[in-house]
Amino acid sequence: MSLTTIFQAIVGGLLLGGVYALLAAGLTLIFGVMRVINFAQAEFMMLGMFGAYFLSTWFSIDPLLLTVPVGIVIGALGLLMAQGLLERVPRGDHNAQLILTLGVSLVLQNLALLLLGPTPRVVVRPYTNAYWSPAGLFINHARLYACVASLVIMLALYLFLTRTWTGRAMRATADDPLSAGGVGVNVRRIHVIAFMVGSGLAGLAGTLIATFNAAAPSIGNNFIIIMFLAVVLGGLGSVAGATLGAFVVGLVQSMSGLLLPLQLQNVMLFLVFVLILLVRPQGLFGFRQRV
Amino acid sequence: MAFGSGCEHFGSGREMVASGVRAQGLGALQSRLRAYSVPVIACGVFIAIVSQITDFYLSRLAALIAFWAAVGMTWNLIGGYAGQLSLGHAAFVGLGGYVALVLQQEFGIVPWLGLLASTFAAGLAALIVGAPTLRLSGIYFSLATLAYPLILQVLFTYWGYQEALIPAHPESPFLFMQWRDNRWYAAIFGMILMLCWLATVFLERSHWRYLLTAVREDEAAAAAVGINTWLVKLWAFVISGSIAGMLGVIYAQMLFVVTPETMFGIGVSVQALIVNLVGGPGYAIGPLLGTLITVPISQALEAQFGSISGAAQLVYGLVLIVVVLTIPHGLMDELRRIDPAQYPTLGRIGSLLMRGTTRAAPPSVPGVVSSPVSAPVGKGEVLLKADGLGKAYGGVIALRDFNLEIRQHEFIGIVGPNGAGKTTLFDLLSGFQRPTSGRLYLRGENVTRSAPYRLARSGVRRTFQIPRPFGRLTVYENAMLGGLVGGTEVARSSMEEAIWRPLRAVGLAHLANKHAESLGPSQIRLLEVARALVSRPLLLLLDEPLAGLDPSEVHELIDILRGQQAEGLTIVLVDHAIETVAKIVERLVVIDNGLLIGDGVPAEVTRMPRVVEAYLGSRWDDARR
Repeated sequence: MSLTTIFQAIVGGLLLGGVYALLAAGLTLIFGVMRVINFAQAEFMMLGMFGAYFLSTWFSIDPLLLTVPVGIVIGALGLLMAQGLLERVPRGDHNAQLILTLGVSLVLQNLALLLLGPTPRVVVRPYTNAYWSPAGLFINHARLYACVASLVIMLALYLFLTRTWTGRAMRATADDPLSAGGVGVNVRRIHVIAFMVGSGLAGLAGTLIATFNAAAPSIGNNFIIIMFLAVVLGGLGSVAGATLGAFVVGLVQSMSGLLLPLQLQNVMLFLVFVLILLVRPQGLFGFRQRV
Repeated sequence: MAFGSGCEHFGSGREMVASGVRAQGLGALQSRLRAYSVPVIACGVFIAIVSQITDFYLSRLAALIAFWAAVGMTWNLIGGYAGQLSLGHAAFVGLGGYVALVLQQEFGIVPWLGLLASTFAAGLAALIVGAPTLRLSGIYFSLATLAYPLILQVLFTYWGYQEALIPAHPESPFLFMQWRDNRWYAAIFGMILMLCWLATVFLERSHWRYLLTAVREDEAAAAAVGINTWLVKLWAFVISGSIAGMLGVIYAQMLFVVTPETMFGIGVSVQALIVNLVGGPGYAIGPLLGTLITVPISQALEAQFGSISGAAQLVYGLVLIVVVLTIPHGLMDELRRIDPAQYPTLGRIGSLLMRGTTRAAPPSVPGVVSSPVSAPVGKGEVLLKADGLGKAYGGVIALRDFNLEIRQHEFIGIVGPNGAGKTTLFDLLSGFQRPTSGRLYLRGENVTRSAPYRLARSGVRRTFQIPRPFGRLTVYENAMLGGLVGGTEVARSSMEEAIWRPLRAVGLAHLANKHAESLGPSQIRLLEVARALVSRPLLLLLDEPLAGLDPSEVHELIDILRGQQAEGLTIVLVDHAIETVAKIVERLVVIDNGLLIGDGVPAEVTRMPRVVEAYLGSRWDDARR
């Protein structure tokens, strides 16, 4: 194993991590504010990928330009889901919420499968197979653009959460919904907005991923554990933690490619995921949180 | 409410006692026969019907119904009765199927022997996976279970079993479980379903039901009555997993061509979940009911659109959403809540389906009571000793170098302003939190690192600041749980008396058949006290028991406690209302900022300058005026 291969793996991992950060940030934002684990997050990403694919092939628009409009549409879908489904079950009933998002995930994935068939669809742009090679490394243009775009969106998210009233209200709600309600935050509205923003982020990520990864109805299954792992690594509910976690996941994934056969890369991720969950103190003595 | 009213309204309670006594005679046999005969008859009818089906698809459907109902029942044990939402049941079904398959492919071992190996392997996997995972709570447990089947799916794909063909042996179908005719599979699944069902009925009628329900309703409260919640969940998980593994073996033989996706995929876990959600988790018949509704639909869709089209999964997704929004606790729960007077037919169906199980009177169980009589304690002996206890949360020190000796027969009040460290101290004394420094001794034995259930079993019982009753159990059952696990066994007859005495004492005997969630706030508080008293503890720790009680209720509760003290009970009570507490107790301990600042006779402690200055201030002067 040469030094270049290791560097190549590191660069590849960081580029992946940048895109994972968007997915993880959305998931953790939803959990942090609503205490809901959104199983449908990967399906929102899948919809974003198909949105980018169809719009770019029909109207020959570059998928990178579609990022924001597609993200807004997916966000609106998330808004409908939060308003129409999640807000209808008691807020503390985590199992019911979990089952609801699982149901939505199954519906979206299989609806896509019924309508579009299982064939993967590839967006081909000039930058899809172009490489930039400084110092013997290969850097795919598509992945680089996606990573940069993702970092720009993360910066926008950061500014939204820290500089706007809604963003601050969201953080306040995540911290303590009762107190937030007490100082005039409409907690229900913030919940719905958080879900909208979170799913919109998944849609944005989907359009970016579509530039280097084929879109397929079941693509979400490959990403769901990655998202969960990044979120769990960073501590459920922390956007900064999830961002960091996403980069770690990207690195673990591409580094384990050096050591393990391709098919076992995911096993590595699953094992890390389970291990992190098991040694996390928050989960270990959960009932004390409620005392 | 009046505390003394228990005796007048004792009628309903006495009936229950009487039924408990009768239950040991002929009635018990009859009710047991009624309960256990349902699965046997149902299985007989099922096999009789199946034997008449000649159509290939219909007999396959019958086999699948029996299979999924049985798998659903194994999920129900951990997901329904123990309340742990597992999203990874496929791990056990798949592991079972694959272990037998690999044994047959690689070593030529017949599947009947593979069945044993698979059952064992799946149970072992459940033990290895469950031991750490079941320490997680709620959502974290669900997330972790999600990963296990995915790991196995990837591993078996990697090991080259993407599409495993079971070696064909058309010459001896019975030896190799390879029947051309699906009716044989239907019959064998029907038999296993019957066994699972019988086991569930047995569970419903034994004290296991109460252990599992307590864990499901409130793990902290379950620990406070001495239940080792982790071990109870682990038992349920291992039994559930091993039987699911056994079912997986026959399922794989029936499928004949097996892929990791069909055995470990999310579809399998969702199917196990969905039959329970539709039917009603925590009901013996729930999974069967759910299977009868969902599996024919999904099979019809697969026949129409093909099994990989996603149509069946799409409908399952819709079913999940609709069920959670409309019947969140399943059909059985809806049936249970129907008023039979209004809808006689539905009521009759409901009682037929629940026959001999859910509505049965609580079983009279041989309880265990940590009775001071069997372990005599000398008056004045040190029961619980805190030796330099300290607790820090990160940089915040909640309690520092705390020394306290609680002696037999004392009535101690611990007071302090909000944030003084009272609740922390209380959690340390009852084992619900571990100290960061110092030691805790119970009758000379170091119990610093003891789990809360261990302290509860040794006779240290507590109540909670925010009461934690088992809401969906009756008042009687709540009290019974107080004495279900503990130190010394007592006979059935004295168990009845041990349950009724505290219930009468707090005046709840006439509400024995009411669900705890239907009680008022002060009644719930008293129920917690009664639950703690059933085990005849050595030491009773009461966390703000007076909050929310009106003055006359406070007075009556104090009378009850004094009565218990006269019988040898040691009581520690925590509150912030120093004026009230000082009048009640014989010894007053004051803490402030995590430090002990006063300890002694109330009259003296309340005059200590430090106490007056740090805590009482002008309020005490006002109160004494």
